[in-house]
Amino acid sequence: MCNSLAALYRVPRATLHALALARRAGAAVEFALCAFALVAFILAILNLGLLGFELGALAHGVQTSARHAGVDAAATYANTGTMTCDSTSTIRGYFNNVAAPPLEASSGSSTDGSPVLTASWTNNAGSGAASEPPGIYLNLAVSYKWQAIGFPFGPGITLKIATVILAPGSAGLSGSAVGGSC
Amino acid sequence: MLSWLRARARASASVEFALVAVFVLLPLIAGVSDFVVVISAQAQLNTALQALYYFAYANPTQAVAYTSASTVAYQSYIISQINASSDYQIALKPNGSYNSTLTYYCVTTSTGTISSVYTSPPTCAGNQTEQIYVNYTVTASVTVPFPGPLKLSNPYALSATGGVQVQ
Repeated sequence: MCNSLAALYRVPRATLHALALARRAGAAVEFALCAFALVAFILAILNLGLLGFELGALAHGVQTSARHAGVDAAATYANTGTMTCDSTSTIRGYFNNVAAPPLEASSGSSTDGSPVLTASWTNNAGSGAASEPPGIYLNLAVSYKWQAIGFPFGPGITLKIATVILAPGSAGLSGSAVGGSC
Repeated sequence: MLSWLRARARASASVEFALVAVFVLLPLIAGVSDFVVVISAQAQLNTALQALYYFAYANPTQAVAYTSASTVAYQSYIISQINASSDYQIALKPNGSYNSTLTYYCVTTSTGTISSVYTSPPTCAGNQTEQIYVNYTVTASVTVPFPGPLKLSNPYALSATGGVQVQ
């Protein structure tokens, strides 16, 4: 061991031997080892707090933006006589308004680490299977790869929240009152 | 031999580090990973509950008819749609053949005071208004990766309960 270290770092063998026998600064060495655990503990507490905060924002963002889209669809019917459903990019705007910050704003890209929204509308107005609610409903899911502070090269944890919202007043609509965006 | 080993101080720091790693660091990491699974599942449960609230709020007549086959089917469908996009499998807690319950209140109109709570349709007094709440309980069972440090049962059962006023 001493031979290989001495060869690697070009340190005289006698110096390494003296270092191995030395007891000075032993407490500092032990503190350095324990500090690793201490820092890990502090980072864990910090990251758990941030995780809870961001998870709460994610859930709130999904619920709020889905409701906004559902109510918006009902409002278009009230104003124009034809129900029009928001696009994914519009719903992304609602989400960013309420959830970013603390979350990174969703950009629409699935590769830049920002929240990824998947929105799909189902049009059961005037038809639909017996097991499915009549009307227009939105299935919104947001996934977000959460990265812990202090572990930038870790795999991250994918958080995912999904919800389903019926557009108010759409249950009794006929198919002709629904626009193509739904 | 043993007393000779005890008297030696070499590598004591390594031994201490090994003890810290085994009894502090590894349980910490295991506990964190369990915690992440549990709180993210609970967040999804709460969101599913919100979706059911919204269904009841937007379709009050349908929601109050909680014994209707279509109401049972629609509420189940909402949960199945959420499950299709979620990492966790949520279930609506059954109430016999149904999946929601109703609570009735008689509220004194002039003061807004809740006088009585009923589980079946009441006959309120003349100065009272009837209010109806639809109640849901959603449950999920999650597998925690390291149940040991937090002494969690595995799979771990989570639930969320709440009601929304529909009348």
